[in-house]
Amino acid sequence: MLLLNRKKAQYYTIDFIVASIIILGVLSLVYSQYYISYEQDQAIYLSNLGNRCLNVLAESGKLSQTVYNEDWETLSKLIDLTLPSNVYFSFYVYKWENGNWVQIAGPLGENMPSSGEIVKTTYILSGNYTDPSPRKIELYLWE
Amino acid sequence: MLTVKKKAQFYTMAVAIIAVVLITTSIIIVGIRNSIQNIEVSEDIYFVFDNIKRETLERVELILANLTQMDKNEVSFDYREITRYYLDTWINCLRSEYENRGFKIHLSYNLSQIVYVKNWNKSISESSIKVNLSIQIENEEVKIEHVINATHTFKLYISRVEQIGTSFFVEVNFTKIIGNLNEIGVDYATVYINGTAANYVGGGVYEAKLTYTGSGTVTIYVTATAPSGVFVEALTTK
Repeated sequence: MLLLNRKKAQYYTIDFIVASIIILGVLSLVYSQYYISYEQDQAIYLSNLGNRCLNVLAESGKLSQTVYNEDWETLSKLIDLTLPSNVYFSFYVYKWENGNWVQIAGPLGENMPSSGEIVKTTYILSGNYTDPSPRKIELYLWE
Repeated sequence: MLTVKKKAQFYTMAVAIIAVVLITTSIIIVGIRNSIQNIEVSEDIYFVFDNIKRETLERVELILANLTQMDKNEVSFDYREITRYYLDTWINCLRSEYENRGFKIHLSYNLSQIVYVKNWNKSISESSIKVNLSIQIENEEVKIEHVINATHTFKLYISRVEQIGTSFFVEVNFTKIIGNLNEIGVDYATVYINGTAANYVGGGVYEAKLTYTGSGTVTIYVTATAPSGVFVEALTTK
């Protein structure tokens, strides 16, 4: 009788282990799929926000004006006004010089987090009357 | 007594197994999260194309601004060579940037078809440039090709000068025409009439009231600053 009970207990234990592994495995799979999809949606959302922000500033002429005047404070304020309050940003500015991009400003804005999802968008300015060298602005966004 | 001991062993083992499985699952989930921190978001090729097109048109405007300024300063120059320098710098910059970002890009123009003309008579200032540019950009999925007929014109003229008593009312028209988009842009221009900032009244028209203090001929001198910083001027006498 004792031997029979012992065998039963062993079967229950194996059943329990296998069931636990299957359930948790399925949960991990579902979670990971959902998480990847969520992260991708967030990245696309942030990317679109960054593109729209730079586009609006470029079309109004403000992007060129602030970048070529090196008025980083005004540019930061304008970007801040264009983005939703829960989205943080940092940016770098480069100058086209002798066939290469040379960094002239940055990082400006918020301190970039060391982990988490950060999305980068870029805009290239064609020049200004006082300085015909193209400029590049790299805008980093995160939530 | 033995049964109780076995039960205790069973529960201990079950708890240990649950703990191990939970820890393993957490490690897997954290691993997944860390591994997808740098998600590659494929860039919108239409957005990229629009940016390139807009900024290329701005580049042509910048060329016109520089040619106009040099002409005004009576500097002798070869407008095709200057245009080529500006366009080649721009094309190299775009190629370097977008090829690094996974796009194939091709911009070209025909140097012999570039035309720059000016018309400066007594009361009108007009300069114009025409450049045909071909822009082609593609990624793995989409290829966009467009030929731009970039015809930019800056035109400034004095449309009305009226003397009433000791004052002159001067009306000036300033337009920036972008031929490719068939668009007339008048934004951001700052117009000065004999050093007095003129008021914008709409439709490219600016006006100012000048006080007439002397006798004889009055010269009216107008300057305008376009977004790219171009300096155009018109002159008339009354």
